[in-house]
Amino acid sequence: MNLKEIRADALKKLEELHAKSERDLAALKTYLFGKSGVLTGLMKGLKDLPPEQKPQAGKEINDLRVELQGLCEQKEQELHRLAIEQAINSQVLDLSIDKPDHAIGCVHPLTQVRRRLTEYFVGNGYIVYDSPEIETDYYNFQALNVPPDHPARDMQDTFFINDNILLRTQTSAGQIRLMEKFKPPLKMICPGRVFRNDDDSTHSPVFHQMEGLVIDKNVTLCDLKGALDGFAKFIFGEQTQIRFRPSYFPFTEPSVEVDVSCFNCHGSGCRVCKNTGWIELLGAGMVNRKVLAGCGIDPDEYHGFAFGIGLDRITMVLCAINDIKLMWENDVRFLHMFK
Amino acid sequence: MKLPLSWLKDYVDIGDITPQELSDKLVSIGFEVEEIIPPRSDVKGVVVGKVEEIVHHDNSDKLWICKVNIGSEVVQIVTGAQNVKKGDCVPVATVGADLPDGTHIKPAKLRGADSFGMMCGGSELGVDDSVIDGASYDGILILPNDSTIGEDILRTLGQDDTVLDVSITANRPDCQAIVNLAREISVLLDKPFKMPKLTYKTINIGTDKMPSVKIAEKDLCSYYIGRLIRDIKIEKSPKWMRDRLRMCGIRPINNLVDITNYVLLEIGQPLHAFDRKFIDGGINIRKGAAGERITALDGKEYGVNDVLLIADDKKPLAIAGIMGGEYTSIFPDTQTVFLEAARFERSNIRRTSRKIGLRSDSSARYEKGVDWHSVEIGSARALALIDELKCGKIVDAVVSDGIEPPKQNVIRTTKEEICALLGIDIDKKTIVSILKKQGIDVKSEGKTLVCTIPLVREDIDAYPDLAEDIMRFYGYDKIISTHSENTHQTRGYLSTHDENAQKVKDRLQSLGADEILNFSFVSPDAPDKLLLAANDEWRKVIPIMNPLSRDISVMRTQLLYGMLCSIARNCARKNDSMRFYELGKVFVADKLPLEKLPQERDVLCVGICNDGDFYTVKSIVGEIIGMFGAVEYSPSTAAYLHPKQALHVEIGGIVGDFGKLHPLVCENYDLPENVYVAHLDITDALTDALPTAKYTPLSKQHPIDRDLAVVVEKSVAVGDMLTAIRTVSPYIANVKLFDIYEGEQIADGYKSVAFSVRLQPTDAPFSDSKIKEIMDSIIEKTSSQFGAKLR
Repeated sequence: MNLKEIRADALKKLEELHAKSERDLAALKTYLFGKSGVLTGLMKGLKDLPPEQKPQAGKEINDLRVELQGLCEQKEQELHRLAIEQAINSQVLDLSIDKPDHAIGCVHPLTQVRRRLTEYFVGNGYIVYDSPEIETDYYNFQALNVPPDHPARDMQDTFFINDNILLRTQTSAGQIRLMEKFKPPLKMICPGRVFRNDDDSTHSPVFHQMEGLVIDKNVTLCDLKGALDGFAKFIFGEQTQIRFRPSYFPFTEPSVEVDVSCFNCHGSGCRVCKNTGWIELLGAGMVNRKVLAGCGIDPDEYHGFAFGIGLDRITMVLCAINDIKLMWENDVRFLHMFK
Repeated sequence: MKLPLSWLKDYVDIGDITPQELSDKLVSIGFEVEEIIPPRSDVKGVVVGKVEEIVHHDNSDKLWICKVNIGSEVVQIVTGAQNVKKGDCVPVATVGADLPDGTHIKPAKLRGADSFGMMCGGSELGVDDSVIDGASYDGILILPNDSTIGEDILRTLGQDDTVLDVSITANRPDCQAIVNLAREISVLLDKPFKMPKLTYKTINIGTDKMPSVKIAEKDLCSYYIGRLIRDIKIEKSPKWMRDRLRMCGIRPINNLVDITNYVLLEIGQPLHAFDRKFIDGGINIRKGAAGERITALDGKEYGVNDVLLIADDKKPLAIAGIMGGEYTSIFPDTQTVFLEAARFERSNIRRTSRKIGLRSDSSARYEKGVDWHSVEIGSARALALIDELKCGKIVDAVVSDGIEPPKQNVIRTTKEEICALLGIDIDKKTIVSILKKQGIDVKSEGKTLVCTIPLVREDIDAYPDLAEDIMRFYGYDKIISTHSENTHQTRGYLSTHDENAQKVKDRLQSLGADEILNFSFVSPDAPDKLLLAANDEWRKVIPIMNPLSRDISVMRTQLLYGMLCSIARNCARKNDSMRFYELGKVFVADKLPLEKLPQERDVLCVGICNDGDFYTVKSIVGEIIGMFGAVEYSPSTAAYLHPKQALHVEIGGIVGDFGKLHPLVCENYDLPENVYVAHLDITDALTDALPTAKYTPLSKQHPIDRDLAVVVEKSVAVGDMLTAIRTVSPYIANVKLFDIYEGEQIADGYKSVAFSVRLQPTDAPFSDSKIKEIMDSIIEKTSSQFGAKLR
């Protein structure tokens, strides 16, 4: 065959190759370029030509070789692409179904809120202090300026283990333990379980508080408001306002109840805030001088403020949980709402 | 405390402020209003009418035609009632009136006679005899003859008043009295305050008829006044007094008893009236002797050993401050009354009341604290009312005993001290003026403010109390937010314990476990239900003296009870599968009954139901233990676990057991059979900071994988064998089990174990002979230690 015929033949063969003919393509390449391929044969035949024809003939053979090699390569790529396309088309899935193969565990909403609050206070220089859940009367009451038989004891129905040992009714007991152990300046939060002999639609006998305590020179009631204002904005959003109402706790003086503006309606009144525009959030105040003195801190030198946040209440408000019992039922469907 | 606005208005002019506005203002000075009880609104257009004429209806035997004067006019009303006669005052529902049952009164014709309205009975007005006499009678309510014609019936019935239910904080027992609350409101509204009338006429009969008064326990009864009232007329108290008592939740009884209750509400001073004829000799305030008993007004007998008593020379008359004895109350034939007003120490009343299990309005009031002043004012107010209502003749002599009146508390402070606590600047004039309005006498001595506190304000004992009283009226909205600019910087951080606990929870979350919370107290039946041995440590539970119920009456020593109850609750609700954990405290008593505080230990409990098998719980436990150190197990003897599917852990501060729940425990908790639990005490593991992981160089050499299958006896622990293989050469990077097979081609009592070994050269590739050497030593190890034969 002459060059023309070889070219025409090769082009025809290439044309005939179809998708699954990678092997045929390999054979064609061998036929053309292999050790005993036609082009190789022509190349070998050059030596028999007269010298003046050699350059011209050699160039023609070589040109054809380059051209055909290029075409083969193109064909190779095309075939490979077709093969992949075919594979892809065979891998059709029903994308509408699910086959979950791992589960994400849920952290209890109360823990989530507790972590968030902790994050805020730790970032503001508070340590986290753990205090016993079973306490003595001294730490839970007497050191907090509630002597035996004081009417303030009626504010909290107490579970007793014996006359002197009880289940703490407030995390405030942690204040005393901390002040006994460390010297001011002090900043701490004490989150944990508290217990009251109380069980109705709005109370659970076990619930959670987070006590806060700051003791230093020059601490003021305005500093308390600043600390709680920052906390309220962190939890409920930047536009949140807080307000103080006078109240009474034996271990603070002055004592205040703290309300936050309703995060849901921003004060115009809705179901969340019972149309008042405000949500009752926590109790706070300036640490009573007797409490400081009882812990060996000079009340003329140091002031302090303290607050007690109801974690369950904040969780319920934030997560729109309308029944405190849900917090303790551990229903999987409930838990999975808080992923 | 119930505060009827009409009563409040007696002592302070509140103008036209609405109940809601007043409530909001009360809240701003520290008195939360729990409820505004509005006047009744279900009766409209009913007035008092006087029957001027009554004649039989011409066309009916049972009907009467009345002419009734309703003030503005005289109307004709036809009635079927048979108890009305000329001159009676009756409630008249005029045309247009609305009644509680929804009836709307329209002009009507009854058998040809026009009727413009309806006379009402008590039930039609929604009242009974407790509100007004005759209201329970089936017929028309006949009102007292002196009723005001044309007056709205709600006023006549005393049901037109708004009552505020005010919550009084424990530091303000003085405000448990209407007058003192009125004084606060007068300051709040800047209106003058008027004291109730305290004057009365007396008669002189000499002092010899007065019983003497002697207090033996002056620390428990610091002041006692007795007065005598003669020629007592016991009758019903006037309607206005009965209405007010009723609005405050007290049942009217008779004039004298009602006056003592009225004074309790108004002045805050409990009083007790004794029939003089039962007092033998003098009054002694003393403690009861061993074996002494008294029958109280409630008809029950109480042992009064060591209890403070009001006694005469022969017998106890009353339990001081709590309740009178049965023979010493007021009887219809009582002629002379001995009226007691006293100050009893509050904590003793509280203690005694709880000890003997008897409470009363009086003891409730004393528990909160009655101030020194109220004793005299209360006594005087009662006498003034006795005089006003003409209940008897007041003897001028007074018998009393007690300690010297206490001195008024004096607090020396400065404007600067007060402002330094508050953080805002308030000028001195404002401070002085606010304090003075509250009855606190303030004198300036240079910079010092000398504040003399009235005896009624026993709550004020240091300058922060004054700061609070200033702020109450100055306004808490004036407190601004500052950010502790003048205090020290402090370092905030989580304790190692909390940080570790958080990491454990994070790990469990990534393992797909949901966190649950259970109460810290459990049922005392828990140990039995968990099949615990008689001497099991978990049986040493700490009981609560006053539990809410038996189910939650002992402190938990384990978390399994709560876990299993939670799983069972979910199963009962047809929730399919659970993978739960709780990280909580258990309470370990060194000794029972408890002498010192128990240990509070951190326990991790995992519970899996329909969500995996033994190996699931094992891998979860392995992941957790792996955070703290090497993983190692031994056989478990935990009674609550399946004896064939349970392991024990005791390493690096973690102690516990895990595995399949014992089938009997499943039955006890109403659980399906495939429940797996882990119970690990991780207290000690949480104390040390977890080490930061360190990098070890990755080899650049290709690993070599070789598979092996060996046959061993069925009883061989494959896990142990694989662990042993790992120790053969440091080049063994991993040993992976891929099949355990028993059956065809394997002899009875044997199993085939197939596993793949990955060898990891470090510096240079392994030669074939090196690979063979390692594989041979593996085969040698399995054969020598586990009797394995190459398959």
